[in-house]
Amino acid sequence: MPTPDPRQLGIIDCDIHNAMASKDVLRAYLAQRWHVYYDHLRVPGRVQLGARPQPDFFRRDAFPPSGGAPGSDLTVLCEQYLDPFNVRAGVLSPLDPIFWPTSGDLSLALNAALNDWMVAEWLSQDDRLYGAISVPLEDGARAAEEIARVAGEPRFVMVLLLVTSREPLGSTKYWPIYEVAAAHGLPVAVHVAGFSGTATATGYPTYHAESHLTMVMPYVAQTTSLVYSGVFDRWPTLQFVMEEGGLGWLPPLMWRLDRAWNSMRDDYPHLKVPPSQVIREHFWLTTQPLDEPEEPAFLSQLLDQLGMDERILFASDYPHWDFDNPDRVLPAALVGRERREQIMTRNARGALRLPEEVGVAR
Amino acid sequence: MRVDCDVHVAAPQRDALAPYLPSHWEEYLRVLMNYRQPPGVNWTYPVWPAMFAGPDDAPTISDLQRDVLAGVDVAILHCYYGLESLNHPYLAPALARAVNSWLADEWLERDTRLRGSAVVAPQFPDAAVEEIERIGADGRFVEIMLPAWATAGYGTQRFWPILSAAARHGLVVGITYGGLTATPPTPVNWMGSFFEDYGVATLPFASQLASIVYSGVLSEYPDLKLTVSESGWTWLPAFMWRMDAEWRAFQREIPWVAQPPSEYVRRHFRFTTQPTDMPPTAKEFRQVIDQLGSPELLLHASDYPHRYGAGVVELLDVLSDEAAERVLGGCAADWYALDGRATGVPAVE
Repeated sequence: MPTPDPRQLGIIDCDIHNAMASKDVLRAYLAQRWHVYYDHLRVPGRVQLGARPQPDFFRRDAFPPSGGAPGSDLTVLCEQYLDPFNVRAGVLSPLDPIFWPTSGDLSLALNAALNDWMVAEWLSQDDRLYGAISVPLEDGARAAEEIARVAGEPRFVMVLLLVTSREPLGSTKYWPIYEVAAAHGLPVAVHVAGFSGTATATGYPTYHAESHLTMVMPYVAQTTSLVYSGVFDRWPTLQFVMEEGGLGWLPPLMWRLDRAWNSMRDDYPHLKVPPSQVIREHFWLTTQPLDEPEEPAFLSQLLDQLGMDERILFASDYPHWDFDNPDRVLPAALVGRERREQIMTRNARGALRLPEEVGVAR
Repeated sequence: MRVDCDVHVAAPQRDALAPYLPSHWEEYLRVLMNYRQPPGVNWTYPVWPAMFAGPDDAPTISDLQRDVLAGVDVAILHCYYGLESLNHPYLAPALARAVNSWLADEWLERDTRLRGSAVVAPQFPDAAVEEIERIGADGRFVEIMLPAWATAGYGTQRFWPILSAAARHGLVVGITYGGLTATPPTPVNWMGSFFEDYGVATLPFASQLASIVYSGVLSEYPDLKLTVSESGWTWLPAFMWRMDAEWRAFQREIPWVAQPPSEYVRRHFRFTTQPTDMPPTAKEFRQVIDQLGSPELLLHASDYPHRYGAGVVELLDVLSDEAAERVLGGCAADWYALDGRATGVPAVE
């Protein structure tokens, strides 16, 4: 029997961004004592974002007629994306925490309100929708507290961290997050964005093109840090989903870390197996922005080099401007039907522990 | 012709530099600071991992003649000195000048097969240009060294006078491993170990490529040539795909980048072969070279006295004999105009 077309099975999309129609929406979920702070939040990093050559990062056709932000109207999300592309399951990751305090009680209150809003206004409204848990990013104890509070909601399928953290993610300050994520079997997603107080290995970029290009770089640092840190010895079931970094950065990193390990394994005896093995056992990658090699054939070479077909997950990044269209990325003619089906639908079912019937022909 | 594009000599101690320093700075370093050398040197190449040379392994000229020059016609010497860590606007340039003079007298003068890569303090562009003018007249220097880890990308406009002076004198700009700055080495601040620092050491090279290509400096100075050394280099194909994709999306922001960025990389950059972050199979290795576009972008280097094990031999094995021969010397002879032919950017198929 030929491998079925994922378009018929139903796509599983690991990275969709929903949003609040207006900032006020959250007030209903936020205790009165926090309102004044919420109304007057200082937005970190605004100056940096101001350098971009377009006013925002959305598809121009994704603004709902109702007037809210793209991703804020469930009907538009269904009509523009979920229905026509037969998306059977989509994981929603609201990005508001990027602009919020990342530690302390206000951060906890805001993230808790956001998670409650997710359940009430999204996850309970459409059986295709799943969610990522938002947390105080730099506050391990409070992040763990919030994960434990909402982990019982079965439609939360991952914890959402931002890739540009203030310390490398292997640092022990983040370990309480991993403890509770592992205990609940929740993978930890690491998504583009965050304000670490620094930029690249050579300072702040001059142009937005450079800034957008270098967004791939923290993935290299985070993977290196996590592999080195010992978190996978401590929590052997812990899983990370590297979201929105594309794929091409990882094969050369595995080659480099394996070479470093071969050279220095006597100096670092806690690293017992080659880093590439740790990576292939504990990391998942989402596809968007999918690499665009000069020769289309290089794409299958890249997948071959990764050697982790069962750990690559489709993501569209809807409604952002660099949305990857599920009908066009990873065409079967280029990567084969088997691989396409795996990446567009099958792998995510395992990664996110979705119900067995999701993305299965009926 | 066989060329070794990356051979290291140990940073000179203070006394060795004394004859080349103005007396005021010589006395200041000796009496007031008990200075030996910038700390960045041993942090960049720590002495304890087996892959780097230990303190007793500092090669002498006869070591070099036996271990390196016996097999090549020309070797390019790098003496990493960590000048970028010095904020003093007069001391750093004085040390740069002293290191280069010492390198010329103690090494280049002693064997005609040796060529030099000159150190400069890039944080002081005027002084760096002055030093480039000085050593540019000395045919034994073929390159200047700019450490990859830096507080800013070298495409930033304040560095353009350095790049243009190098191009004017036919000197290649070497973007080299290391760089000691007060700013963190990754987007997520400081790593916790040398293992991790080494793992992420490809990032500054990639940032520098992006900075230089997107800045337009290559259109401004079309003769500019850059050699990226000790970068591991196999990250390059995927990074070029991404550079091209971002350019397609944001071209209007950087209109001076008239062709896909990968074309600028292939025209203006070369990459040394040691170390190579080698894929596990010959088949994948061939794919990477295919994706790179041409083995002509690769320049043979031993990175002596550092010892990385596998990589270079395997690289030569997957190339045709003709291509291997080019990597071993022909490419570098053209790039550095080592046989006296005209400088300028050679064409790559």
